[in-house]
Amino acid sequence: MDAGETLGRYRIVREIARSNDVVYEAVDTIMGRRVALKELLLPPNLVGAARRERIERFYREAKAAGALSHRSIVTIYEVGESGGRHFIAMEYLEGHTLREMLQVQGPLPVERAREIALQVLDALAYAHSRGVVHRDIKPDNIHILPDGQVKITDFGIARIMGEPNLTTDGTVFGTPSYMSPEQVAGKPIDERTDLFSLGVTLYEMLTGRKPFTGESVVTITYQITTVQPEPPHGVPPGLQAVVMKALEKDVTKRYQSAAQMAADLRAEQPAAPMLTAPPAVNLLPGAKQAVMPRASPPAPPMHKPWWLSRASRSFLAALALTVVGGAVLFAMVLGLRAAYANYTRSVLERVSAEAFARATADYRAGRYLEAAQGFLDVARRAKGTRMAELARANAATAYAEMAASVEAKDRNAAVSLYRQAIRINPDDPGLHARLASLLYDMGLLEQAVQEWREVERVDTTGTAALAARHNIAVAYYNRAVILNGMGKTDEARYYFNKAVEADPGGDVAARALQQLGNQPPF
Amino acid sequence: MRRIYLDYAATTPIHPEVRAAMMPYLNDVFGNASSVHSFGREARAALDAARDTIASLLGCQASELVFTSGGSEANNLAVFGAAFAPGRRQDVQPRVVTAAAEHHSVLNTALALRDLGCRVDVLPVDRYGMVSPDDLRRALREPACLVSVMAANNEVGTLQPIAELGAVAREHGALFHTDAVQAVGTIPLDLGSLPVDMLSFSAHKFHGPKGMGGLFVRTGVRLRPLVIGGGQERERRAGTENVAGAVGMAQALRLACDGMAQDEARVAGLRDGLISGLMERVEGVHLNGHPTLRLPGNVNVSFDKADGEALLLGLDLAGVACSSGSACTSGAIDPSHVLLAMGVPAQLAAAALRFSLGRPTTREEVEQAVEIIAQVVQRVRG
Repeated sequence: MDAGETLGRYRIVREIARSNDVVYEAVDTIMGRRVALKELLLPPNLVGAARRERIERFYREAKAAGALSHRSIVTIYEVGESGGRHFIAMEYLEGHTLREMLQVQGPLPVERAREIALQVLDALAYAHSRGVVHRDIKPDNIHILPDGQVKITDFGIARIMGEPNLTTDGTVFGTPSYMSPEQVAGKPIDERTDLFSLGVTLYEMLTGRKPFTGESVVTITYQITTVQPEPPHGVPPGLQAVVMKALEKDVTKRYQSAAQMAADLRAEQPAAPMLTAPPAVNLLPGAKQAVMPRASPPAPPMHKPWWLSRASRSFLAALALTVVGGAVLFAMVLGLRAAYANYTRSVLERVSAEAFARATADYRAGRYLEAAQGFLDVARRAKGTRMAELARANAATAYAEMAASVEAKDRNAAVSLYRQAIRINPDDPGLHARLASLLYDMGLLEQAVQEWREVERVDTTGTAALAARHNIAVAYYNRAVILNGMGKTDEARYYFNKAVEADPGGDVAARALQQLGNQPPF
Repeated sequence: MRRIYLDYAATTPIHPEVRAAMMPYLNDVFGNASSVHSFGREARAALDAARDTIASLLGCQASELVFTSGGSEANNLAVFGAAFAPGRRQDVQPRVVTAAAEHHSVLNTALALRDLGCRVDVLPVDRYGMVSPDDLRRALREPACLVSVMAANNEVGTLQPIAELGAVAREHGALFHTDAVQAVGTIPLDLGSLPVDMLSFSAHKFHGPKGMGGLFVRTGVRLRPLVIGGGQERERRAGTENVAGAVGMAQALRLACDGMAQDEARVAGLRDGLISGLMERVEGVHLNGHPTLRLPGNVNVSFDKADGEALLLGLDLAGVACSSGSACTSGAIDPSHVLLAMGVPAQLAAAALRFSLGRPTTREEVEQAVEIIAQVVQRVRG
């Protein structure tokens, strides 16, 4: 949409943000005031009931938020539709999101963090008293005006419950880092979920790090539900206690209300300025920094020459692998609980279940080869059952884990292992996607594209296929840009065209078309 | 005719209080700060005080500041110095990772390193000019000695997620340098909390004198000096110290940091007014750079069907001073490497103008500028 166009009574000035929805700066032509106009973007693959449901929710949630009137909650002016396009007009906010502040400036001074949290709590107490739970408190949804005033945005709009925000290969679309354990588990949620999310946000404000991190959704969710986070370092003990209580996994041990948490935060005496820790020698730098949040600036890495860093990185990799392994297992066990119930009656099935459990134990211990063989054995024995299907999928996952564990040392071996995994479970788009990324990293463009095409073929949800098409376009686009830089304009043109073909409606295609327009005539 | 200066990213006028603070060191207090006599000691005291002031404003220790002749020298020192740091292993090829939208004083230095046997990888930027921490993480699967990504882009004003990028570099054992020439004195930066090992700054960007800048070098980071000679600046930069420059820079930074939050908000308000004004008054305007995460004073726009140089000259005639591309490249025919790296089509890149607002900019100036720009664009489009 271009400047000057109108949507309802609003004249678009410019686009200011784009993610799941697009936000414009606009002018209300009747009131003459500046507004932020959020338009609902409906993916073309969202059809039928799901589409209607998405639209209904947009309205329902926007109306719930519109009923709130609080100085720390963004004001909604109007929710409407024009020519089949759905939008929300709201207060235009100067300043930055808390996410932007943290990205650019790093952790905040203790007092500032406390003050922001207090303002958020004030708004939450108000919203909760009216039965509205935000459900998506995170730095992206907390806006700081230039005068320090806090505004909570996207009240129940940004993330609509029940919609997938994960890709099938476990990479993160919308990060679950701020979700509460009950949210992750899909249990009923109430206002205490917001307090957990605020706890995560406060932790990040203080330390510049998230308490629950990981490379994949599975790792992060595993941490959220299971791992006790390291208390935030370098903050006054009282404040530390507030953060830890907000992060209680058991809702009954957590703060029960925003007012309670605010009272504890207020009771904290204004903290004495924290001393900057001297950049001392850090004994186990890589590992420590990866698992321990710190409020003070990390020491420079000079004591650990970069050419020696492989050892600590493989240590890290091992660590990560263990965590990922545990996480995958956790996810598996969840899914299996139901399966177990159905299969315990018959002896055959009990035996299979035992073998399954042994394979699972192998998997947990990182004995992937044994695990894979065990699962394959179960798959053969319990052929035709749901357990066999699961076992087959798990065997493939074990091979994929093996692949991941050797990837750093021997990428060719990793490729064969991924292929083995795919032979066992050819319909898992995630396996194809992981292999594709590896091939792409190895510079094997066409092979990578082939795997991404497989993702498209086997993906039933459409999400992974969308990502795959985008990846193909990006891969071709990047190749074209490199060739262009080398003066090989003919070849560059060829690849720009391929990028367009790969994902004709996408962002990348638009860029490639622009590039094609730019090239000198042939 | 009233002239309107909208090129504060190129340089800023010296603040009268800065000039006043410098005057004694251009007159009576002329000693060499390295001399042992009273003349020298006076100069040394002023230099030390300036260093202390700047250190406390940036959140670092005085011993961590190396004074240089400006931002370019600081960037050169950081990149060259880290790639060839003393004590590095001779049998391992040094590797530097930087990004496509960096200032030439980083990018060209990195490219020069290639000729000297270093491996240099240039990360892409997105359509806003931003470097992705994930891209950096991927690039650092192989070891590197230095990562250099600017804090704020001089052309399009986009702020980089340096806190995140620095953390990624740390995790991978690489040093992290940031060219903060456009950021220091404009937006809050606290070296006490930022995971940054080196940071460059330049006095004339914040109403200090030209020819004066500095590099923050965190304790423990070893650098090979570029300017070799005496032991000044803890043997990291030889040459008689520029006492007046240092005093001026300290005073300028103090003034910039006093009420920075208010200045930032006011200038950002003017910036958004200029952007909205242009979008509403002129057809075919495209904002380059991030819509919100940008320097408070930066407006970089491309105009459909108009040539940047023609606009620049037309605006100059009409009394509005701005720049096309960055000051260092204007005059050159090549379109900005920053805009091209962002994927802006060459035609639009060649029609880009940068208006940069500063603390002295007023609302009237912005309103007048919008009118003048609208007229000049119309004229140039014919």
